[in-house]
Amino acid sequence: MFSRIFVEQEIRDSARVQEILDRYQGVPVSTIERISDVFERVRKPYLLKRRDLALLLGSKKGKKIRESPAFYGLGEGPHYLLMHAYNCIHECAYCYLQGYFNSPDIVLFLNFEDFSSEIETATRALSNGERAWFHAGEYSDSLALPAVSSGLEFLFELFGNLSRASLELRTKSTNIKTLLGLEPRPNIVASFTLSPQKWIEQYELNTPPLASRIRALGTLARGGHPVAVHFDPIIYQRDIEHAYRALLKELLESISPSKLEYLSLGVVRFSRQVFQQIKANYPDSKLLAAEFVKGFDNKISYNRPTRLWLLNKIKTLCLEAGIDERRIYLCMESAQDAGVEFVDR
Amino acid sequence: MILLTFAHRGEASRFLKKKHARTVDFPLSGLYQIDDGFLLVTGEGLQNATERVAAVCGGLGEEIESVINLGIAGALDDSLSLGEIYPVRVCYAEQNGSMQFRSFPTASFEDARARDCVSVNYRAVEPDEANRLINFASCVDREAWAIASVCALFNLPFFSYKLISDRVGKGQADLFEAAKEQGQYYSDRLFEFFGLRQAAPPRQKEAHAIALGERFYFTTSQKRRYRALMEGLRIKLGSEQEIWKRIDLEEIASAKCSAKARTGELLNRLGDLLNPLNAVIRKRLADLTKPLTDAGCSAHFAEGFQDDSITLSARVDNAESLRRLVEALNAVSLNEIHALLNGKLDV
Ligand code: SF4
Repeated sequence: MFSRIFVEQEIRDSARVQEILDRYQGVPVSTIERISDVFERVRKPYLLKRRDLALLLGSKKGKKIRESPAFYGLGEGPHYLLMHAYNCIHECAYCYLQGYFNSPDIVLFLNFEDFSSEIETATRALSNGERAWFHAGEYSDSLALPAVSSGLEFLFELFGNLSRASLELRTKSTNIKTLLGLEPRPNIVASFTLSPQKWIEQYELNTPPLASRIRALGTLARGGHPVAVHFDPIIYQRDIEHAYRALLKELLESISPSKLEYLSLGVVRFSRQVFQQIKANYPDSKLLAAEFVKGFDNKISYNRPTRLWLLNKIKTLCLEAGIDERRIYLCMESAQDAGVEFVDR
Repeated sequence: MILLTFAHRGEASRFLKKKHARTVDFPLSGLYQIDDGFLLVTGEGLQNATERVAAVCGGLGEEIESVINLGIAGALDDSLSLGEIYPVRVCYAEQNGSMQFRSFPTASFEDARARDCVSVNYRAVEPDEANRLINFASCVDREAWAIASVCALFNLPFFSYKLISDRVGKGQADLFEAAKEQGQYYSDRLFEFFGLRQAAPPRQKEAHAIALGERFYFTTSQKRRYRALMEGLRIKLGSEQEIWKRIDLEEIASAKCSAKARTGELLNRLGDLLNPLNAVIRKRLADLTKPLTDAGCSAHFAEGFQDDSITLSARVDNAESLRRLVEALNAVSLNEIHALLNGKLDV
């Protein structure tokens, strides 16, 4: 899977590094001073990930969690994104990581203890009655890499002691073996991003099919793990209503609606930089067979009536399927959009 | 036409002979006209390559359609075989001891045999140089990145093929000395390889030049939207021909209105074709604002309908036209318009 592994000198002999190197025996290993000596040192084309992907192991310096953008996640409390890993082995045409980092190489930070102290500090700063969410899966798919089982164990232990914080493990992966071996925690939710199978084939290259994701989600739920679903991004196609109705049917044959912690809805949207990258990397993708406009938040998406129609339509289908309205939330959508310009291609 | 570039005359010798090279009268030496284009001997190093390739691309202009660099490189990665020729996939560079952030993918990016190459401005022979450079590329040369950067500037497809002459840091001969000494041998190998290589497809012209005649007038933002719509429709329908089968251009072109208004109508039709929901939105809005249009008042919505505002424009000449306007305003249902703008499309 990897063409080369880079390891920071200071953790070269640690057990966590050893666990990973054992898993990828035969891959050439280089020792480096710092991750930044290699990662993003040069601009590495995104599509190199198809043939020449490196893995970098090191310690995260600086901020380890970051406040989420507005309208992100469920509930009133603060939402934080965990920066414990960068990039992903999957290849979704709409992935925002392609315009975010200057390299597709995978980075794993293994100084878990430093993450834990920043998470604890943020939790201590909560005001009375407030609850914080920590999301793993914004800078990388949280389960796609089987490399560090010790990372998941560490997070389970940490959040087991944090009654006012929840952790979301967001994924498209079916790699749930480690998770199944851990004691379920009410405040650790495995959330699966689902799309109709036709959409997966068109836009989510290299990812597990819908049926496998639903099976993984059902298995975790039966094992007592809280689970959730994201219909995000929703991408318009003519047969969208039929496709999402079928998807909901398949999903709810595997799990009762009451077992879903939450379900989020979000319409496809990009930053300008990501949009340019998509055009460069996937110039013939059907994703681009639409007219996009730039909204008040500088995000590029469909026009507002189309976005809101899509959200309403899919939400109605969810309600009809028996999902409790209080568990459905809209991701990154504000009612106060204003001022757009047409997007230049 | 192609422009072939070589660092040394020795590497180019077989090409010069077999492709009947004739010196070109040009402000710098080393440029030849050959059977299928031009050949340039750049000299060694990043600066020489940048200056000379830029001068030739600037001087010959549109005559150059693609640039092909042929030469030797030292292997950093043990999986590369000595004597083999590899297409270059991405060009990197190290200058003054530090990696350059900019990189240039070549036109061989998709080729499974292609390898990455780092260009340096010194003769890389030491093991510590090899250990450092292998973090970024599989082989090292002296020119590829510079030529690639000029091609990016001139928007020219760039190919580079490297014959692996030695292994850097393994105590073997200095590859650049070798290049001079064994130039003839390398030139023969490169020439054989070049003969077997598939020719690159001709350069694509801009997909859809706006050539709709004088009956249309495009403002800058209309041009931008036109390009975006045509690109989306090309993906959706497969070709420009398919688009025009579905749009009655003659009907729009012969409408009795200004050239700019015709363009507006054309863009609306293209937008409807690309996104059928747009057609629904436009039609409903036209229905809901019909009392206004009937009273001579035009209604404009925010671009992308990003807010609920409506801009009205009307001329009142007398009491009667004012009465008609007030009547029309009363007949419009703002609630229905707002419901539509907030996604109630009923489709
Ligand atoms: S799974 Fe998520 S992180 Fe990975 S490529 Fe797809 S969108 Fe990006």
